[in-house]
Amino acid sequence: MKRNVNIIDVLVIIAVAVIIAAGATILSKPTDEPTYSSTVILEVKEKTSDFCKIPKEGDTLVDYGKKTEIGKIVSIKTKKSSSDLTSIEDGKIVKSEMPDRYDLLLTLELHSLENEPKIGTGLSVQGKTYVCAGHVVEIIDSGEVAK
Amino acid sequence: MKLIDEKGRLFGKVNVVDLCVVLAVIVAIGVFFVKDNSDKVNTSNANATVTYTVEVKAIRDMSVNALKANIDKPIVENSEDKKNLGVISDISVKTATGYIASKKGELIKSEYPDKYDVTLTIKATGLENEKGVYTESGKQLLIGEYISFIADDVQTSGEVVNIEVK
Repeated sequence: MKRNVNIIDVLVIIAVAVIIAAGATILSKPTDEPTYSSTVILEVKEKTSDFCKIPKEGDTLVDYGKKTEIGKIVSIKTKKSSSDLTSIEDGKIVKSEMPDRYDLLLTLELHSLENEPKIGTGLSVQGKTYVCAGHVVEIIDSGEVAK
Repeated sequence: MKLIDEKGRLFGKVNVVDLCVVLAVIVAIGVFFVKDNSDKVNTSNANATVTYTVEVKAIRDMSVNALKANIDKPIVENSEDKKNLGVISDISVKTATGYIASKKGELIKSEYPDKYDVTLTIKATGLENEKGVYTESGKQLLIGEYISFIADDVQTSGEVVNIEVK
């Protein structure tokens, strides 16, 4: 018996296959990409004393942009913020302590990172009710996670 | 009975190609639904009053006056979603200040001649769960976040500095 193949049907089947493949790609994370775990110190500059009271040790952190869990706060230190200002007397730049501004030094245990953090890497992290952005100033431990 | 007959119909009833198309549409809708709702929070049971404070820094009097005209009016997020952020319930205004330094680095506080810092109190219906505090429109409120918003005839942005849920 002779069977005719309809070209429209073939195109529809190909389109269906493409849609299913695209859906599978979107839903599944690439499994061959390495992930990194790191313990870093994140410096968050010039926050108010009220803000500094909010983050707590043990807080679970979420990546602010991707909304995925990335780790937790291990410890918190604060220091007075200083800023470079121009002196009105001689025009030279002087370092001045800012009133009611503190730099937070957050030690973070991070996991499932797509990129290994370096000194200078910017991170925006959020807890349950707060968000803060800063830069990595120290890497305590870092490595690729075994698959 | 053949599984697929000579006309390409499954059990002689449904065209295989039509079935594939229907399945593909269902999969596509499912993919869209799963991706679109993966980070959304169900706020259908939102019944708490969320009061939060937003500090808007160094704006001119025209913006201050426009904000004052929006007391008891709703504001929406300046984004594609235009999420309802609540109603402005109170406004306080003070002259914006900055710092200059002496030769020794001592700070001298100085007022801007025509700039104002505005503190907005915003009330919204919302909820608090283990993930955070949300308005009824699904906007998560975070202290330290700068939100950009639109009122009746003014738009500006400010930092969320306080959140209370009752």
